[in-house]
Amino acid sequence: MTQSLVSEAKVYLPQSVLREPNVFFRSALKDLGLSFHIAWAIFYRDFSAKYRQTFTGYLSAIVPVLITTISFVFLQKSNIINFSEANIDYGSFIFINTIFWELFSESCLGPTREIQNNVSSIIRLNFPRESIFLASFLNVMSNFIVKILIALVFSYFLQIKLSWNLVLLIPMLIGLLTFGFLIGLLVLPLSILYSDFKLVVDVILRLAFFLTPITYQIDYAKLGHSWIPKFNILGYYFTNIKEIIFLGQFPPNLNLICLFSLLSFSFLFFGWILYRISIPILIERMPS
Amino acid sequence: MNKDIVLSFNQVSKKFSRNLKRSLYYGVKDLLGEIFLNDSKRGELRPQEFWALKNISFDLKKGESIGIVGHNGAGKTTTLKLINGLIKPNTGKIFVKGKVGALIALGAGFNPILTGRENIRVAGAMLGYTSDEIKTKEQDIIDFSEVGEFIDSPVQSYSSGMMARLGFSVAIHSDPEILLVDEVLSVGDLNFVIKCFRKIFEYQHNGGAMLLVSHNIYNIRANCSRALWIEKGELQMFGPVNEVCDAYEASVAQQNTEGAQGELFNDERVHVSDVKYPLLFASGNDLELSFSLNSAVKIQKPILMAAVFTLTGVNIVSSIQEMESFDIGLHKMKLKIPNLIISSGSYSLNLVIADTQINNQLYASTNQNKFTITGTTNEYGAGLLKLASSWVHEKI
Repeated sequence: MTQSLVSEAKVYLPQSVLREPNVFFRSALKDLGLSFHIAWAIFYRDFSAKYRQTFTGYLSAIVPVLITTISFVFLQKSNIINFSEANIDYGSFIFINTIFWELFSESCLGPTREIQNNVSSIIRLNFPRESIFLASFLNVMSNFIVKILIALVFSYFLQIKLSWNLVLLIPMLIGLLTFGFLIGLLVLPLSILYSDFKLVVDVILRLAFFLTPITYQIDYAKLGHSWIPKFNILGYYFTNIKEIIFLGQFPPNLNLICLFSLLSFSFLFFGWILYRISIPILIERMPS
Repeated sequence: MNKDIVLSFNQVSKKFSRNLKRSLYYGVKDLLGEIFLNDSKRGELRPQEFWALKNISFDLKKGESIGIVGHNGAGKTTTLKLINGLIKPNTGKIFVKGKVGALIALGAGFNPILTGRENIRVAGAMLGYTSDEIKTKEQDIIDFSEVGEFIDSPVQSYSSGMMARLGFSVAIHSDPEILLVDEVLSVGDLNFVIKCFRKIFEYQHNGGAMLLVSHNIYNIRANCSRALWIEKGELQMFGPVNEVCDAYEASVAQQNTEGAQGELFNDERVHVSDVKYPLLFASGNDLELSFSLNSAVKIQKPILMAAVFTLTGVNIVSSIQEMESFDIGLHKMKLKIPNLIISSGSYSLNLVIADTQINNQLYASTNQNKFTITGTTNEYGAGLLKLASSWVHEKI
């Protein structure tokens, strides 16, 4: 709310806000417009606080990625995992894929986490709720940027092929973000209400980590009747990421990815409606 | 609608569930109801639900202040949440015109690791400041909060009073048109509380409207022109502040008189009976007490004490006297405390009979003999004692 809202009248009614779609969408768009600087302030607060209390500073962002990488490299060296791509270093492969996977999983969990981090403000102050969602987006993006910048600094050791082809990562990035945030918004109401639902989301994400070619690779030409890899859209994202970063090639499934990203983006609109409708219902049930 | 009205509650009701699991289940149902426009039964109670507010109607005009009184759980905070648009009503209509500022949780959203200055920026943004407003008002906020050089220290090093001062300062500088104040001024030292009320007065003087929730009736009388009394979600009274506060205080006094538990110690050597005193009288009248004492033994150096206590245990006044010895047999005792000028409310007349020393008690009653003092309308002096005093003006 800024001076532009001074003297503006608001009417709160018991009926569903969707009964007056014009009013609903007008106020949603207005709130979205007012949200950016609040989201930036919340993001700045979270980002500053996060790295201020660390010993290693920004490098701490990469610690979980490093631990995952070391664990899988150890498994591969022990011949437990078979990685047959001769041109790609397995450690680098895991390192990069984990960064992108964390981008996706943080997108899925980010909105719920951000709401929970700001409960004390949400239940007492009425500010545009879109700012919480946008702050969560900025937090996820900032985490990714810190990690990817560190990866680029060590690009020589990670065998990343620095070329203009890397621009093609942008559709991958947008796709993973929109799909992740779509899931994040859809699961948010139930995740806030029921703690076990949040746990289920967490378990599904862990399962998805293993069902997606992050620590291994898939040859889609030789899949046969295995339907899980075929229908796991995330697999196509990660295969493309591998092709772009390590082989410097044009991604094979770019059209599919773009189409799916566009679909996710469209459905994000419905996620936003759900988010907006659910907040007053959730506030009633949040501990004060 | 009158164009001066900035807030209107029209037959507003709000229901909650007593049971957590039900509440969560109803949350899912309500969400689906919102999406699929299935909201026809919103005005009916479902199993394990209760009305936190029921058919409440009132309005607030520009420049006016309304106090909300009621016991804990009466629905005061729910009313503020509805006005603030945090939750939706189940029936009725709420009309709010203008920017709402909430002095509800001072320091909500503060991150303990960040400095006071950094927290001003975040809290300010949430309270509706634009980026430029934050820059312009930052120094005023810091000056008002009296945090001084600590402003660049992490707020985790602040005392609770400092945190509340900074929170109040950020909230009050947001220039709201309707200010919601919920019992926040109980934090902080007296000087700061006085400063806050001065700031609130300045806000009212500039045409700001306010809703004040407080258990401190003096604050309600001093800052509001009208009051709303809610009890168990239902409107008991809405009108001029002194009328509503008098009625509310009388009700509290009656409930306290009926509710508080008393204790009695009675040694077998004495028997006290026929205790008489007025149950209800106006402040400033004489308090007269009489009782019969039947002593089974001779008491050498009896001590009699009668003391007026609040029901929460604060001693207002006491009368203690060493007497000549009491012989065996029946005695009639009388006490008069003239001009008992104490604030309206419920009190207890505690009685002690001791031998030789006050702690050598033969009889002691605590919170047994309750009475109510009424009648301080149009006075908003604080304190339990109402001394007859007068100012003299002399031009030098």
